[in-house]
Amino acid sequence: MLELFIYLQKMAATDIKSLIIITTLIFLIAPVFILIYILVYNQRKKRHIEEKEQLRSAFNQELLKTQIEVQEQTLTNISREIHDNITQVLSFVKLNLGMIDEGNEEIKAKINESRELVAQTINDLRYLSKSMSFEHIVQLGFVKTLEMETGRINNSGLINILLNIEGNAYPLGEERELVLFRIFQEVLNNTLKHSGAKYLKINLQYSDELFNLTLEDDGKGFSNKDVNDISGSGLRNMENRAALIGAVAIINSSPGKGCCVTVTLNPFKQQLYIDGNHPDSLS
Amino acid sequence: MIKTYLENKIPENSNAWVFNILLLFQMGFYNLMFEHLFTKYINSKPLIISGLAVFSIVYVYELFFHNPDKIFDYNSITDTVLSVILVLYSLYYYYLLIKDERYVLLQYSADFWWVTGTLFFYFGSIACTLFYEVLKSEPVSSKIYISYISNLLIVILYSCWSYSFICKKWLPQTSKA
Repeated sequence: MLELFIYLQKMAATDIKSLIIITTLIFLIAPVFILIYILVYNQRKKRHIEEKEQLRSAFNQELLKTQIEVQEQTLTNISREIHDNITQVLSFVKLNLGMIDEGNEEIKAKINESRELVAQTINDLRYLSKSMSFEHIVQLGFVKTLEMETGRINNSGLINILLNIEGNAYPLGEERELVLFRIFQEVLNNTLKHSGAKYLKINLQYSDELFNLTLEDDGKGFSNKDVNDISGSGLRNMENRAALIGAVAIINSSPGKGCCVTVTLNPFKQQLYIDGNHPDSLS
Repeated sequence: MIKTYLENKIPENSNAWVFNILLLFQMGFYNLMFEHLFTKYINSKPLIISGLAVFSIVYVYELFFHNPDKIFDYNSITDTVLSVILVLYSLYYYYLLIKDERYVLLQYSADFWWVTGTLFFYFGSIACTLFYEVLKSEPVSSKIYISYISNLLIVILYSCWSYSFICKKWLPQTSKA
């Protein structure tokens, strides 16, 4: 009886031992599968996030390109209207004034003065029309257009522009040159409107692997906090346009120290950045 | 705590009261840790308080109404309940982790490896604590395999925790670099 009891006890102990070992093994294998599942799911999540980011960047870039195309088309339309309508009408006015032969010396002097003013207006409108038209800019090239524009501004006496070209100028491509010119126009506009500067230095550096455009004024400068929504969006627009052509636009300014805009471009890098931002861009 | 029944002592001289008190500190520590982990994703207070409430009720019941020798009997049911609660907390943490939109590099995530160690240890030890009452009455020589299981689980637990602490210390330095 006692032997039977001991035997039964041993059997029970063996059964419990097997049960505990098997259960422990199962309870250790289950978390392994859970772990594998989580690692695989995490990898898929990472791929999903990357794809979403790529799609968002592609969308932003397309949006930016479309905005710029619309802007250029609008400017071209305005340029044509100015050239075809307004300058024609003013030329007619000038001719009519030239045909007036009556009146005393004083009246004739006033008529001549009016003719000169109309002639000046016609010239200014022609320059304006050309600067807005991308066909004209593309035809002349970036350097020539820049020289014409700086000459016109210097003649107006609004500000002194000093243009310096280092190295041998070479074509950068129509789209790039157009964007660079638009950046120059934006900087010039800001300088004339806000800075109160007397000088604007433009430096073009052409080298084998790099092109550098530097625009520096001696105005009152600004800090990031002072930038309001409108002028702030103009600065961001510059950075976005530069990024679209694979360039980096860096804007440095502080109160009392003027403003310096540097646009750097590797002319042989064809890739347009999908997220619209160059990796080194401030934004 | 698995080794309490390896001692095989008579109740009055048993050291089970140490492990019974240790259970309270264990529950407090793990609740603090999981509360810190869950807070990143949800308001964790209701969940933690519920877990504490269940643990407390089972602990008091077993200590005063179930154990014939009160504190000198090990609260094995409470230990099992603690294991189940911690396993559920761990699984819930994994669920919150994969549900979250942010991507986390799991290979270097200190939180992830801490929870993994905890899950392996408590999931693996459930079988042992569940059969505590039966194993208590067996001779020590016949249940030496329990100490092997216990050692294996401890190695897994502390390996994961050590790696977790390395990740915790390592990551801020690499991000500064």
